[in-house]
Amino acid sequence: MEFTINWMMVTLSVLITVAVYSFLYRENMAFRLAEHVIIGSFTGHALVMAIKNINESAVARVSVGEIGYFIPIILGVLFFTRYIREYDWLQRYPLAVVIGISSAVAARSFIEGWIWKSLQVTISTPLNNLDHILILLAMLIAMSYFTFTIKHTGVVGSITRIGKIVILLVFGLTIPFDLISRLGSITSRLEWMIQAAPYVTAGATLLVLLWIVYDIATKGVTEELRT
Amino acid sequence: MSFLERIPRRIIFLTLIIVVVVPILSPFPLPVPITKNTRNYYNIIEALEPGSVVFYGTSVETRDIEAYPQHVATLKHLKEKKAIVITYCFGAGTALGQEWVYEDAGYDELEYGTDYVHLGFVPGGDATLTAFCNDMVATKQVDHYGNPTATMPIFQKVKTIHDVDLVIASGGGTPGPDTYARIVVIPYDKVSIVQVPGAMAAMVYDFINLKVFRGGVIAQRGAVEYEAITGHAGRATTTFAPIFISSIVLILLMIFGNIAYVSNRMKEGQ
Repeated sequence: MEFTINWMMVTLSVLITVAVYSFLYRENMAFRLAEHVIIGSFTGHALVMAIKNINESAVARVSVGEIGYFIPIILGVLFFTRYIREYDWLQRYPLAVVIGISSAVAARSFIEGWIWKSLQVTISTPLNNLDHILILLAMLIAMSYFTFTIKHTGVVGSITRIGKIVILLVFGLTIPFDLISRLGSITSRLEWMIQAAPYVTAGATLLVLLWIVYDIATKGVTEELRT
Repeated sequence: MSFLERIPRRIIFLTLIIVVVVPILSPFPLPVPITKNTRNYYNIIEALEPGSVVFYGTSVETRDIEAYPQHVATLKHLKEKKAIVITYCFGAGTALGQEWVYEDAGYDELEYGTDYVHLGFVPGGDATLTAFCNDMVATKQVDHYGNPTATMPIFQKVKTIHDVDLVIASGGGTPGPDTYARIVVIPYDKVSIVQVPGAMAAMVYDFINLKVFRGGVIAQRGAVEYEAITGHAGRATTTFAPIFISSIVLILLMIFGNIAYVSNRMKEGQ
């Protein structure tokens, strides 16, 4: 067996994964250690990437004479005034700029992309089959749930109740897709571990199993384990 | 029936791990019919002329079995069609993941900067993408590796989004496919296809029905179909059996759990 940097990285990765999955039994020191390592790595990576992006997007441009890029740097620095009580009002300016630009870009694209396009296609679709009729009916009924100017009683109340069911059906549709995605994450991780480092995976799993046996032998089947 | 509600969740976790691991250790192929969305996705790429420019919003963070095989198979297909590829990432992690995708799709055989370019992480979401569509080089002056984009042969030909022939949107959240749809595809009327993990399927079906995206590789199943249709059997195909079996187990657990819940409530009502 060759002890290369790659081997060490794979081994560490497998050990961290097994430590994370050990949480399925109960919280433990290995899980907490893995949790802190992951959060620390993510934070470190995010910080380096943030500095790199500030450098690429603004500092590098200012240094070649594009003075205009000095404005976003100042606005960025103003965000930190929130930590100085006397000057914390200054953070409102960059916040206003960010919200203003985001809203302007989003407003145009949301109206055009979501609302207008959806309406255009829904209205222009000929009602020549059951699917299209159902789509139109479901859209109108679901929208009725959001009418707050009319009291939801009587016939209107019945329609809005059906509207609520339509919305719940749509939400329900997203759950199985999400579940399968999560199963995919587990499968891909386990498959990778078994392929990349079968002995390390088997060893780490065995360690976890021994710990579980020891835990049950010393503490017995606790109430936590019964649920 | 009440015993069903009292099954310790650790037993369920263990059952799921076993049903996932067993097919991994002894894999078997499963026949998957090609759906219309995947067929359309394939046809759009297949119709590309050599030298067509593809703007590809990528989203691989790990070597998973959804986004990763979708990306690898797509890039292999684009490579066969001799398309010029520009990749753009909304996340720092996805910029790193894209390096593996290029490597695993065999792009090291091609000429970087001429046949493809990896722009890497582009911060700023909607606002930056809007600016990028109008002036690519001014918005992203250096690529993922720190090379200046202005001198790259690709950007002598491709200046704005108008010079792009196909947009491929991918992603598992926002910013993601909806962002590309709102900022790039609809305003500029671009031909576009999409690839997403299962969690985003419901949202993407809307866009496909609206004809914003002309085709889609959706979830791992879509990746399996696309690998089959392109003849590049990969990670999605080899890991489909565990997902299939564990999904069946999950469905059974849900059915039994609900039967137990309803029956217990009926008993309580009596």
